[in-house]
Amino acid sequence: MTGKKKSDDLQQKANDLNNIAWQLRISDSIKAKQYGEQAIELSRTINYKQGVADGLRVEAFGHIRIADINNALRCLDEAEIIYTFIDDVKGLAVINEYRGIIERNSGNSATALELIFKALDQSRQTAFTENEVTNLYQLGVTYKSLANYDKALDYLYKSLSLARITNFILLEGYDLNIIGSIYFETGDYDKALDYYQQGLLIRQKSGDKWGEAGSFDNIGYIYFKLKDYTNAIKYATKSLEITRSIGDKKGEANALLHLAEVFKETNDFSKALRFSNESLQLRKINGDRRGEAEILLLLAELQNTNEISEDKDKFKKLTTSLMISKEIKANDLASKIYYRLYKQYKLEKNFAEATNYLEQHIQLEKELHKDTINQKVLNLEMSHKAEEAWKEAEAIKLKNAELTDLNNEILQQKKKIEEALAELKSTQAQLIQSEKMASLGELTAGIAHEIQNPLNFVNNFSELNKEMIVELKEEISKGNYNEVSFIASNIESNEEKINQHGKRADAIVKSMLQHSRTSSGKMELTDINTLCDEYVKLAFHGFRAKDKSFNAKFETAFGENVSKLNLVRQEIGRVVLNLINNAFYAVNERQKAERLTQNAEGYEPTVVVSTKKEDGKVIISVKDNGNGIAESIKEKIFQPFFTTKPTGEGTGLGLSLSYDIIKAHGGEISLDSKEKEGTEFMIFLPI
Amino acid sequence: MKILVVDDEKDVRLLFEQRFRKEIRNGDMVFAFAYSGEEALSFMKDHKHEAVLILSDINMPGMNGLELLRHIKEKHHEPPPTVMMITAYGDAENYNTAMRLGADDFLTKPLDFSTLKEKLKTIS
Repeated sequence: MTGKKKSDDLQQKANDLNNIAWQLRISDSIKAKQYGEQAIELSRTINYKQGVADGLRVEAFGHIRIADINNALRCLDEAEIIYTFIDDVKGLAVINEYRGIIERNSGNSATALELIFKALDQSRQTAFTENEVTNLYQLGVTYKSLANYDKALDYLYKSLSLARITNFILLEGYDLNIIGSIYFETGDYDKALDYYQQGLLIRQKSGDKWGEAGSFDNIGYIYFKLKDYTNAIKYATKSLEITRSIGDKKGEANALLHLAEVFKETNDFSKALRFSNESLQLRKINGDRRGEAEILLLLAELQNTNEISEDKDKFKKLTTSLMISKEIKANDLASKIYYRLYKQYKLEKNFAEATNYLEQHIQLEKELHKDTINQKVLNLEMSHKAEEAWKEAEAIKLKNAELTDLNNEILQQKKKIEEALAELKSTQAQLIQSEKMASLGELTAGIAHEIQNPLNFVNNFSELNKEMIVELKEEISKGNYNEVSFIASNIESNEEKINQHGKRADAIVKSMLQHSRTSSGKMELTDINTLCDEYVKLAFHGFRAKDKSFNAKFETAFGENVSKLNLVRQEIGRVVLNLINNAFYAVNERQKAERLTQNAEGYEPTVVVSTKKEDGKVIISVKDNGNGIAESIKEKIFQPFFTTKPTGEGTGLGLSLSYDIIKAHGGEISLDSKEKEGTEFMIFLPI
Repeated sequence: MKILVVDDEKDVRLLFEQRFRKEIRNGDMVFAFAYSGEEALSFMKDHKHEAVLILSDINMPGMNGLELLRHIKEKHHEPPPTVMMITAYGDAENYNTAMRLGADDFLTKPLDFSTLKEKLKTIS
């Protein structure tokens, strides 16, 4: 076994121990503390920090349960340092809760609230739901200790609901029990009984014997208050049995006291006395000084009702009780004792002493109420402050949540915009395609007919050659070789024509296909003059096919020194075609207008396509003598969707696309136009 | 019979000369060629009443075949010569316009020369 493996195994063992300890921490704090201590010891030998801290927190809880504050704080201090070091927020949440419990038990409710709220925040932050349930429970307990029952119930119900959701049965029992005790304290015994009984069921289901005993005791005490003494004895007895079987000394003392009280009310004084004394002994052992004082007070009362009172000093129990009360600064108890002393002296007809104790009682009551009121005001203020701070933190969290929402909203919108953009791009692509198809439609009309021209030659020359071959054979058989030679050369030249016009037909079809194809984007070395020539013819015939009345002179002036350029042929072709189409459209429109003014004879529609090389650029010019372009729309002419054509005739994308295509080729496109004189578009392409 | 062929496609000349090589050789037919409407009109001006039959293309740059037809039928010639239109654009609109302007016949490309020859027989 390697060192590493061994260390891993030990670490696992420490984790296992801590897990058991954590599970048992509430139901059996003593056992849990023992497991925790084992885990700490083990973890220290392998320097396993998390193991030490996890053990310490359970050990701390064990100390808290037996009110050993010093040891609890020692454990919490060390665990907190470790958790902070390893950045374990969950661990810190537990530490803060435990510190809160300690502060509450020491009477510092405001600090307790602050700590527990902090713990709650950390639990929620880390989705540590199990701890959130206990945090809420502890908030409820703390508010209850401040007699702020509304708030207490609010947090306890929250804890209860979360405990039920997460199936945290143990805490569900605790929540029900403390809710019951609040109703008990506010005198709503029916509700109290209901919650105690619910709590009892839960505790029985979960096998929590300590809790079960407590529930029985609570229920019994309610029956006592309701004067149902049979049930009161029944439940207190059940509680007593369980506490004895599990060694719950504190619970046992409580049950005994409650039984004593019942028997006192039912005038069974010997039993009352017996149980009181048993309780007293236990409380002495437990070191429960207040409990001891309380029982002494009860015993003192019993003395008076006890017919067989054998106690010589009737004031001994009361004075002892008073001493303890003063020692532990339990003024409320002391006040009760003063009152008891006043009554006792009155019975003894010692009115001077009686008056003295009554005065002390009243004095103490005054102070007590003043103290209580002051404390309550103070507590309320502090708890208010603590809660304000917490609420503020909540508000900030809310704001953060709002910001997150806002951020999400922005992201959502960004996504929407991106989608819209993508859609727009796709629409644009479709429009480009439809623009192409529109101009293709114009073309095909021309092409379908135009193809007949080369076909005319192909068909006829090939038929001719068939005839001539027959003739050739005849002449061969005649031996007329001069004629043979003549016919043969005819056949040859015809064959050349067939070939030439076949290629021409091929080029026409190809140009149409190229035009319709989505751009392959392939650059190829292209003869600009051939390109222009091809498209000017296509455009002319296409236009003619559409409008039979159309006629225009078209001229070409191709510069001889115009070099071949590397470009995307069908794209530049499209631009040229577009410009020529526009030119034909312009002259046609003008001619129509001139006809209306009877001026047709004087107007000769002309389109001139020319190319030249200048300043290291090839310039393609398409010039017409149409209506020209108004100054006001010159700027808009390259904008997408701008068109002067009637609806349905133009997409308004022709020039915009042309502009884009030329730009993409690193060139420029410009126009020069005068109204009533004509327009010249010039394409500048870099060589 | 003198026939004027009007077409902007220059190879038309070679085609006709070969298709009618026998008729030309026999002297039955004489062909003249013009490559535009304008050229055809000036030929007719220069050679009045020589051409009894005009075969004209329609789609030509400048003056097209239909305008030429209108000129021939309306303005210049009395009695007007027979005019047959030969076009690659054999659609109804072209046909109707040609007929309205007084075309004597309407043939489409690719041209069927045996049909053309049959028609010429009825004229001569």
